[in-house]
Amino acid sequence: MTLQTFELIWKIVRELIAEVFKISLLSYLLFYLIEDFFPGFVSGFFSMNILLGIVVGSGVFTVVSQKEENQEGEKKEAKNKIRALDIVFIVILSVIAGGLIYFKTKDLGKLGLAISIISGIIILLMSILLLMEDDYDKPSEN
Amino acid sequence: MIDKVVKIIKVVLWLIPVLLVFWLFDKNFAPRGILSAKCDADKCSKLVAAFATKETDKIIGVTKDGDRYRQINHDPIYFTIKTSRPFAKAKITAEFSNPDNQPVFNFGLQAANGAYVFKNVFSYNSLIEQLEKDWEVIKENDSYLFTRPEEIEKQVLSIKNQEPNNKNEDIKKVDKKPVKKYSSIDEFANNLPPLDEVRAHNYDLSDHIRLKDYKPSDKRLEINNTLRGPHEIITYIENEPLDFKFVFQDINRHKGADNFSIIVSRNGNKVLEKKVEDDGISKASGVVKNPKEADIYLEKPAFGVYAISIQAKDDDIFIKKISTRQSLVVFKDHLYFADDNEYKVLDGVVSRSSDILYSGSIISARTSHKSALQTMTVDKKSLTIKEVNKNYELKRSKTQLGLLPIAVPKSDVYLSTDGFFIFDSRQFFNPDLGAVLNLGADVPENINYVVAQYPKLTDFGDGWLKVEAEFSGKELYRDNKGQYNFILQIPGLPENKRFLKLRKIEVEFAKEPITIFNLWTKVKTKYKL
Repeated sequence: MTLQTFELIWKIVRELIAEVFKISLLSYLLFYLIEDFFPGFVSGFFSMNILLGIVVGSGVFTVVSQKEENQEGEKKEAKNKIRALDIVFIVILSVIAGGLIYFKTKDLGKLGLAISIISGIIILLMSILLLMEDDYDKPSEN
Repeated sequence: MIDKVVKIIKVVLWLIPVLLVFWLFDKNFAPRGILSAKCDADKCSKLVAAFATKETDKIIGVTKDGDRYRQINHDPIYFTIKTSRPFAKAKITAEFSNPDNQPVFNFGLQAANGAYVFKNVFSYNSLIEQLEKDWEVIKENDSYLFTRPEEIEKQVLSIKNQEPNNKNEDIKKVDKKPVKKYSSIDEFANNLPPLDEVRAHNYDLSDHIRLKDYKPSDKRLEINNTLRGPHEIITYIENEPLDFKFVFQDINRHKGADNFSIIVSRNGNKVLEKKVEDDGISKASGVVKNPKEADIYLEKPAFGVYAISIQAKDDDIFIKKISTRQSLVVFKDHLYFADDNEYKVLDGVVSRSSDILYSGSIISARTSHKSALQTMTVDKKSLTIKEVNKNYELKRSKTQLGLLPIAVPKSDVYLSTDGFFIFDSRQFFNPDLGAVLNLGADVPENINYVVAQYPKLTDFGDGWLKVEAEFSGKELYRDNKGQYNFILQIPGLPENKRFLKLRKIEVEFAKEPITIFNLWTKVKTKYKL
């Protein structure tokens, strides 16, 4: 096996494991959410710890391999400019998050409604702030 | 090329959680109507909890063939199964090896009241085992009909014939009718021989016992006496429709609506319920409306004894007339005559005397009105009611046999007995049609048939056995946590230092499958749309 072939295989493995991390993390969060609303729906038939193990394993691998990649100077230029679509996406997610919080706190009455609205706004502002921070930091990296 | 392969792998990876979601939907909603949960030697399905908690140590063994098993030393084995929705049936199966010949196995399921409903799945009976070898047998699933074979009968007779001083008895025995052979257990049950020739083991024949020499009548029987309040009528039906017509009237002397039900039942099981609505007057005004008719009709009821219970809440309801196609009609426990001027507000009710017969060992009478204080004649003896709302009794003497007549001069009286009341002796029958006795320690000579429910262990042939039981309907109770609580009872296991090698316990739940045709109905039912 030549060095080039090895590097190619390594690259593919890294890419696939990063994909596994994304899939397993998303699935874990989705199942966790379902389980929270419908206890036993997932855990009655499937151990979520299996998924958690995959998330942790693939996550650690992805972080470590990404670090190696950075050290080798194979940085890719990120495109972090905020687009209108990003804002729409953030707003939708914030509304969903606020809705979920209201669903879980609705027994508190008006206080539950207030908590969910404030939480939704905080999530919205934090998300925008995070994106803007990336955008702002960029010139100093160069 | 490599990029394409990587893309395909990524698509496959994304498909895995999607398929997992579909699988979870299938498990939770059981759209095909089936859900199973099991425990094997090492572990249980995630739905199963608290399995065999009485076993202090988890002892796992392996047979020569490599079958893994869990050693069971304690009785009983409890376990619970949590399901996301209720099911209509549950079939429970256990596979095990029985090295110490444990003789009894019962499966049970906890009912709503906390008690377990048990099903005997195996109970060794040496007499049944012997009959299976010696008598002719018809086997249908777990049911057996054993018929005394001719050879045994002849042997008994030939032994008797050898005794010289017993000639007359021998002749009698030789004249004995040959034992009738049946081709199926159903044929036997529907054409039972004389009951003194039959014994039963865990088998209920009460639904199959007929009234001897009964023929339906082609005339209607009419009872025109006015009766007050709730009553229970017992009748016998065979090859005829069940047909009763009642006329009711509400006297409205008590507060509250007087709607009530007429319930028809056979052997304690409800067959029909007819609701009769109130006349619209709920005040205790004494205002009377027109009489109402209520019909009870079943075209082809199964033969047997039926109870027709008029479940009036209080004494406001008067039965003005009963008309029926049934020829055998008796009144159980009590009769409240109400043909008296006290109730003249009701159509056609005037004071008159009444005559009745009763079958009980004791007769008791009372009245609520001074005007009905009287002396009745019970089979030539007097029974005087001296005060209102007080019971006066008369016991049957040893010489008084059969039905006894009662002459009631003033028909405002409540009569009760521990037997039945009849308006005409031709209407009488004994609702206790007899019973088949249970099999004892041996089979008496006069017994020609033994019918038995005798489930056996299924033998796989390699040392492993199987027992199974099914629970359905009201037996299948799911508690408020969504759990079914099962039990496998193995009486005497620890006391006799026996043990079992349990390979598997499995429960298969079943319900109606979800289809596009019933989906909307199910949603409507679930969310009460």
